[in-house]
Amino acid sequence: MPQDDTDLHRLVWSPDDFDGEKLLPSAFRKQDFSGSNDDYVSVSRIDMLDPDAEIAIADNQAKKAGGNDFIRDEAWSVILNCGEIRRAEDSDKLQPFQVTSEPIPGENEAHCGIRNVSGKKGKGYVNELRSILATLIRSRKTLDDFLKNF
Amino acid sequence: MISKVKLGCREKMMIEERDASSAFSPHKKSLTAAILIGTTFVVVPTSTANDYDYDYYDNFARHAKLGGAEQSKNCGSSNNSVSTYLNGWIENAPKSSWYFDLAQRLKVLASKKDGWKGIDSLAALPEAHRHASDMLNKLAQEGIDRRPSIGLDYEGTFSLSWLDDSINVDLTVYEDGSYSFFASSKETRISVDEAKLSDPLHGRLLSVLLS
Repeated sequence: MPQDDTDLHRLVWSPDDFDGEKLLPSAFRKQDFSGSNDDYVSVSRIDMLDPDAEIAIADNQAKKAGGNDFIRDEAWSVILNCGEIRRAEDSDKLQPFQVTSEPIPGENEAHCGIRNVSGKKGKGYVNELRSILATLIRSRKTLDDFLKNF
Repeated sequence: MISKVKLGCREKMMIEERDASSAFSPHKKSLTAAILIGTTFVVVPTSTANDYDYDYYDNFARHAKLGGAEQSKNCGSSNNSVSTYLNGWIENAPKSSWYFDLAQRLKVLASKKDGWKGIDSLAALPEAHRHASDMLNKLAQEGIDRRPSIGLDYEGTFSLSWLDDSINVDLTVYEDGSYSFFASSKETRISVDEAKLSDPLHGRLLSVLLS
């Protein structure tokens, strides 16, 4: 399990999931907040990040997208922090998020998941969780600029 | 709430060749749109410019009506502009300055195809687009000053959000004409799983947006 001081990398595929510098809640799939075992927001821990794995993810996504609007070069990287995510509170002062290791052998050993562990569901609650997560973004860069540092 | 913009007796409107949004206030943009849709004549630019997007204005026209207008007419044209005259009222003009820009943004998002942000992303559901447009109209009619951000969800629904230092709101508009939201301000927090667009806007959502 990543420590609180671990930063996490999230791919945002389209600039239309930003409004200026702000990440929009629409960047997150609603199903990922369902709380079920199979659902979580996919991220990669930066301390173990493999640039080739991230490139492969992006290339694979472009290959399978099937939509004319998907432009691989427009992918963005946003950075979040494990501890901030875990300490975030919902309107009932509960901490709804956990960050767990979800390595994919041979593909992405750095893979992690941000999970809804509150036990709460509902469309309005998903709106709440998305809005909380969108405000926890620490920084953003284009994916290519982000990977230049590795 | 009805917003009435009185045009005055034979107020002369100059519609320039380029997009009028840069020259007119939001209310006057509403007026221009009503002229184009609510009358039978067609304003034809004298160049190849095609700045009059009828789909864009049609959205407004569904919610606004030209009331009490005397006959309007095309008073002739110069090489670069046409003039129109109008005397009457426009009801239900959007009161929010962001309305027309975001109506355009909505249209751009609605044009996305399946896969636009990856394998599991859908194009906008047709009815969701219409309902999102209705939501924008409702917000504009209420005179909400805060400009929402608009996103297209993976599932093809639309998201409107206001995330700043004072409020935190995420609202999803669904294809069945319902919406869900979370809204918080310093004074209040509320989460609603299902509200109907056919009803007046949820009171507590409004209070957060107007705070």
